[in-house]
Amino acid sequence: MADDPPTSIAALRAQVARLGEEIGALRVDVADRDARLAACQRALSEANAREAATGEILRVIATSPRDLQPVLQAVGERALLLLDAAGVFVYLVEGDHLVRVAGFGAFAHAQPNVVLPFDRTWASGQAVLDRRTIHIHDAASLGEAEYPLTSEFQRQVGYRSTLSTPMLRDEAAVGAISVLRLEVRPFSEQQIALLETFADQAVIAIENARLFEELEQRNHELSEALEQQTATADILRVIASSPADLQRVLDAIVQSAVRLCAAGDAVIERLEGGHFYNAAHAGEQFRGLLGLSLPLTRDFPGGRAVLDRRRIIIDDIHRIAETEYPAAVPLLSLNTVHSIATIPLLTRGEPLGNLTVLRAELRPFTDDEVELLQTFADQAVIAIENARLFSELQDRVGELQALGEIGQAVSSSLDLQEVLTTIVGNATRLAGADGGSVYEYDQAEGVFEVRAAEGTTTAMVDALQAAKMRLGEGAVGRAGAIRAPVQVEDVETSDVLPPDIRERTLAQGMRSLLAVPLLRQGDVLGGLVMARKVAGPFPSDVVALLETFATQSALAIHNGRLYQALQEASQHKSQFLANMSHELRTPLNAIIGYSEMLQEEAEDLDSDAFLPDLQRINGAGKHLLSLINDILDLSKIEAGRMDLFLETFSVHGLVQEVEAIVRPLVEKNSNALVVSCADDLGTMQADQTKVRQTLFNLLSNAAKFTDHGTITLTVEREADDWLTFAVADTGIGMTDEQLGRLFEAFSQAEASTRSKYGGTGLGLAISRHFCRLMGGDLTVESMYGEGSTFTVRLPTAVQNATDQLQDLGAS
Amino acid sequence: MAKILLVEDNEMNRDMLSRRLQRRGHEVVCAIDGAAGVEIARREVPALILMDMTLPVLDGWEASRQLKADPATRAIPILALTAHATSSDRERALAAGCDDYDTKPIEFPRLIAKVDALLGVRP
Repeated sequence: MADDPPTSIAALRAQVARLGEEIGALRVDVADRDARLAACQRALSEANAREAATGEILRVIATSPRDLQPVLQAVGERALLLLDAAGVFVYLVEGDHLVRVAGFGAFAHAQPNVVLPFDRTWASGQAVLDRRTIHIHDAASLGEAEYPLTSEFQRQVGYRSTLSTPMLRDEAAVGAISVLRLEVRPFSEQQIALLETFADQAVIAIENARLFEELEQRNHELSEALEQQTATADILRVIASSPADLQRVLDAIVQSAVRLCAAGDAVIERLEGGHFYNAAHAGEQFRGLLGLSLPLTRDFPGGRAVLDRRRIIIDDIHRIAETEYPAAVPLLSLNTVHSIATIPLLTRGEPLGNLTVLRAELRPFTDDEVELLQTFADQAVIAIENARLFSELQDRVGELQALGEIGQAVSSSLDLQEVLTTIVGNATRLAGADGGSVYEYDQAEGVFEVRAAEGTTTAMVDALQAAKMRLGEGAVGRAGAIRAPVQVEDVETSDVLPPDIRERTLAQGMRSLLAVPLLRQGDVLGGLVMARKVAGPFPSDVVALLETFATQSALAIHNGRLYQALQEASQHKSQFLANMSHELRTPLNAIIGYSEMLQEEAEDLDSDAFLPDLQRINGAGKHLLSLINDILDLSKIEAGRMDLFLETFSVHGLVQEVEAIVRPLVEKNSNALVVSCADDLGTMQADQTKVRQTLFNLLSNAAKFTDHGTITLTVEREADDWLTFAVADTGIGMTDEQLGRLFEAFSQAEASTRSKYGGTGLGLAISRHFCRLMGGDLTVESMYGEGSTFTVRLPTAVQNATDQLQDLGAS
Repeated sequence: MAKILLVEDNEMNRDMLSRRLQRRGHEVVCAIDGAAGVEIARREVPALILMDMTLPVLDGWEASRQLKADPATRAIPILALTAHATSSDRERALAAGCDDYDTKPIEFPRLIAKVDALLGVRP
């Protein structure tokens, strides 16, 4: 235009007009460009806002994964803002319904959790069912048939344009978001796309929350399972560690049941004799009912569970108690109970009782809880069985101990009375009887005699004794006659007992009897009778136990009789020896006495030729007398009938007396006697005659076996309470072999020795016995050819003779 | 010397002991059972009684008790002769009131020593 100069006004005007048009066109261009720019700018900021909104929602999803509400809040608020809407609703599918879970903007305060139909009567319903977005430009101008529910809302609330988009996870719709405007202003494509994005994000959030919930649930289940495992392990540990302490186990079970099932009370009821009793209880409510003994009937859940051998789970006992469980009704008036689970305790199909868990509130027991209770019930059964086995084992151990005790009594004690008392005591205790007696059968008289009794009055024992029951009479007589146990299951109705005994037995409160014969090689030695205060048969294991006791008792009686016979024989022997020695001594005394008299008379008459023969008669008589005396002493010692006569005497005095007697004897063989005995040795308490006899024996032996030597008697006090008397000689001495047999009766070294030195060979054996009877001893040291030393060691105060004898008998 | 009552049922013992005592110069009267011994002791009032313990009719212990209970014979010393050398026999003899005892068989020198002691004779 600037290239061509203007030629005329008209041309100029035309040019101006053209320029004006051009300017106008340019203005439009500018305006258009500005508008486009503005549109571009707006679109950019909207995109930015959308971007920011979706970013914000994702951030909310990330920060609160477990909580759906903040995510829905973010979605709602952003949709409200970015879609320029008046209100937003969020719906979730729950079962057969859609539930309005949140409202924003104008409907923020709308009632939550409104349940709406899952159908096509309204826009969101259709959106969910058809899995597509429904856009209604004007809800006020919908046809009658189209969305009746939407129209109804529209009339209530007054909105116009509305957009509903489904929330889809995989192929399934989980809910819907609906956006509402109060004016007719349809939503743009971008806005629709944006809402669909929000819906996707909401689904992610819902999914997250669901997964989180599941995770939580799983965690919870795991920790619950762990807790249950711990509880069951705890119970198992209690079971294992204290088999005898059933109560602890049952207590642990009911406590765990209450805790893990969040129940009010748990009880273990045990069945005994057709009634339940409360074996363990945890919880507060039922405390007042402990000790109530319910009979086994179908009229309450615990009874029915046991009778039907199945678990009974009741959601609400109140609804069925009147018709189903009449026995439970009175309990319901005392206690608040709704939900009940009762599990029978069964062992090999046999009921032991039940485990019952109660809730005050109506909250049914879940399958998991019932399974847990089943585990507890199983454990209770194990514990009860364990305790039973343990107690049986204890019983067996007790029986074995008792039998061991009796065995020991039988073998160690020959006191029949003591053995039978032990047997009847143990038998009564282990048989669980209230009384017992053991009889010995006197074969000569043909009657049973009571030997020992337990839990039986003296009057009763006297009556049993007086009854003189024979074979076939009374329980014990019948058992003896048939050689097998006899039971009297009810004394009241039985005719087994003689009338008097029957009355007395009943008066003692005894109702049932068990009699077991004591047999040995087919012979009846006696009977063992147990009495109980309850009627009925004795259990077979008790009968078997008593038969064992009976065998032991028979053995004891047999042993006792043998011992008695032996004692009598020994007594007869001792008596015989005593009599014999007396009978022998009387004529011997005459021989000794008259030969002495004849010597005196021969001397008076100067008839010395007779003297050597008279002396030999006299000497032989005295030797025979000393033999008889020694044999009598020895037989007394062997029969344990050598008594000690204890007296207190001066040691020095005794030694002087002995010295006076033996001095001539010692000096006969040209021996010197040296006595070393201080005169301040004081007194001793002992059998003086036996001490004297021992010293005399040792000194005369020494004199006998020593020629032209020295015999020394040394008496010393050893410590305060012992004395030693040592007799040393310088005689022929002894070999080791001779020493070994020295203290045996009749053991002079050799026959030739006896003929040369004389003596009975009993002196040392008797002397050692005497020393030991007095609590001391006699020992010897010797060197062949050089001499011997015999040492007597005695307590200064010899004790009670009976004790010493018993000590000897036991060693 | 002295009048001695010997109560002894065995004939040979009685014969031996009485002869040996007589040889030593004593006058000896004899009784063959406890009852006779008590009666003769009351009648004769001897200086000493040698009393066997195992006697018929009345045993030596009972006879000694009766003699020691009677004021007329209480002062006469009694020497018990016990057949068994057991402590209980000696105890019983002393308990019955006997003044001393000796055991049978008789060892004459020992018996004479005890007899002399009871008679107050110094050896």
